[in-house]
Amino acid sequence: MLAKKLRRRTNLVAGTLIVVFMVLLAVCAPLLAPYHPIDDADLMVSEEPPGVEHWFGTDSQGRDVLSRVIYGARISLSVGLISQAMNSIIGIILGLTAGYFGRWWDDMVMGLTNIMLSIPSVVFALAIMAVLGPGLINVFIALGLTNWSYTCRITRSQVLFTRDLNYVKAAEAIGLSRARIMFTQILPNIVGPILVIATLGVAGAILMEAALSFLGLGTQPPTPSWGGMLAKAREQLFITPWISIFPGLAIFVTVLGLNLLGDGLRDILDPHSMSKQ
Amino acid sequence: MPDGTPLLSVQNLKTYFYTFDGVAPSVDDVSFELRRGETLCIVGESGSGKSVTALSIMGLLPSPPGKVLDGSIRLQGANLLEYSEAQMSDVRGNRISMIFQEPMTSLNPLFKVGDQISESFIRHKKIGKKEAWEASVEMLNKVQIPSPARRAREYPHQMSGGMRQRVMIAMALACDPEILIADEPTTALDVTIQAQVLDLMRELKANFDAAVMLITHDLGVVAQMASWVVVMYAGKVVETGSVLDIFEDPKHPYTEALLQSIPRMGRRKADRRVRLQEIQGMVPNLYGLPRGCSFYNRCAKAMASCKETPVNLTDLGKERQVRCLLYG
Repeated sequence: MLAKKLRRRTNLVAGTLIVVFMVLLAVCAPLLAPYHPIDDADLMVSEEPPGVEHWFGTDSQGRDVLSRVIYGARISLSVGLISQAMNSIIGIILGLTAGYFGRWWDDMVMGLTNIMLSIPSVVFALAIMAVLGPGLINVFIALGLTNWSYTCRITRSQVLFTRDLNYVKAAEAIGLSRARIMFTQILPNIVGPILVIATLGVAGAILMEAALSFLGLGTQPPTPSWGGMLAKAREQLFITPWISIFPGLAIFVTVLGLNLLGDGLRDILDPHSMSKQ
Repeated sequence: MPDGTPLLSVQNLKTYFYTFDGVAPSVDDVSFELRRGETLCIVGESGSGKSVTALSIMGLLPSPPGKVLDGSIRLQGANLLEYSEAQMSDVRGNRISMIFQEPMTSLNPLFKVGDQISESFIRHKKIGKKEAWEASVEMLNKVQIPSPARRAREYPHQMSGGMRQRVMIAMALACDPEILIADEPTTALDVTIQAQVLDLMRELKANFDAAVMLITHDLGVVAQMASWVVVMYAGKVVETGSVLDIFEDPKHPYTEALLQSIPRMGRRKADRRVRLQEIQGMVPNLYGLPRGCSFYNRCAKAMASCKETPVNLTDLGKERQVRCLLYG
């Protein structure tokens, strides 16, 4: 019964497996990585192609690429999760209050949201990074302030629908406070779509971190991050392709997994968009 | 409580809706009083302003577009329209409660019914979760739900419509309110369940010593429940009186026509196969009400003067009022 149901949810199962795998990699990095990602630099074995000693080869400073990719998962996933958590919190609070209170506050929030949507997010993140300066913490902040507009819009539209449902009116009629109604009556009923957006947002944030690191504004060397590794390896892409291919693959697989998970969740949580089975 | 201040007194209430299509006087100059131990029925067609009156009292009017322009709503002398939102939320569910038309959608699908009733206790009685839960089970018992302790742990989808309406009533009565407003509480239920819910409400009214304001379009319900009746048409009160007076001797042509449009067992035979009466025409559009009587174009007794003369409520004594030129 369960196996049959799961077989129909290929997206969900594949996405979950990939994401769980990546999270395990990140959490257990010290146990899994054969070498230390920074300290085990051995210039004698620099730019070795993949082999028995170094499965993914070594980079120009003789560091093990596999170990760096494994440790890189920590950076990528934490950037994705933390910045999307910030985005979700900002988006939920703004969307919930805008949808529920309406009037001038709604106009203001929606105006701000539309402005945010009209600015290319890479440019906006770059602008914040330019002000704050490079560094991992600043990446969290920049990405956490960049992508809340999608969550905000979805939340607001769901609130507009839910607000007029009878059980919300009934909750008002027993005298519950507005904050309590928003967070205990409305929010639990609309987490589905918000969760889907959040999953896709994590993927977006990982790509964005890679882009920022690639441009030299994100994680600073020698901390291993997938985007940063790509940036360094770019110049010798044709000479030592393994140094760039493996971090690129890691980004690709992680983002794919998150997107599959998001799609799978949407199929379960949002009956309207359910693909025909 | 024959004299003195009534429990709830609504005077000259005016609630208008401001929309793109114009201004709709949904409630226009409505006055009535509700005394302890009584049931007041507000009768009228869809769009006659019954529900808007109730929402105005609760302070739950969708605003915008709705707005209370004028009048007063006094709960034991205190004007609720002057209350702040915080003060009103202390009144709601505590002193005045409301139950809604659709029991199927009036409960939050994500929470156990026991938790939903508990909310009311926790909010107004400031008691702990555990005590609130026990009080909720007790409430479910009072609204005659069998095995309440088990039912309290169920979710709304596990209950039938009649059960859910009982849960709604339990929620509304939890904090022992002085007034219960019921907005078409039985419309969505089938007939046998309707009768059970009405019986329950009558019993509870006596036990809880609450006054009930019942909104309905079902004259059968009115006959069973009401002590006083307010008949509304197009936002205005057209007739008020005791339930006996209204049914025995309707004054306003609209009330009369309403009563004639109820099918009665055996009437066909006695009256030699008369067709069931209907009221011709439609409720007028609230955006363009005539200056005179709103019922003019459907009225069997309409006179030429009805169309242009604004009609006021005429006092007929014995707490009877009627808005018709025939009595002016």
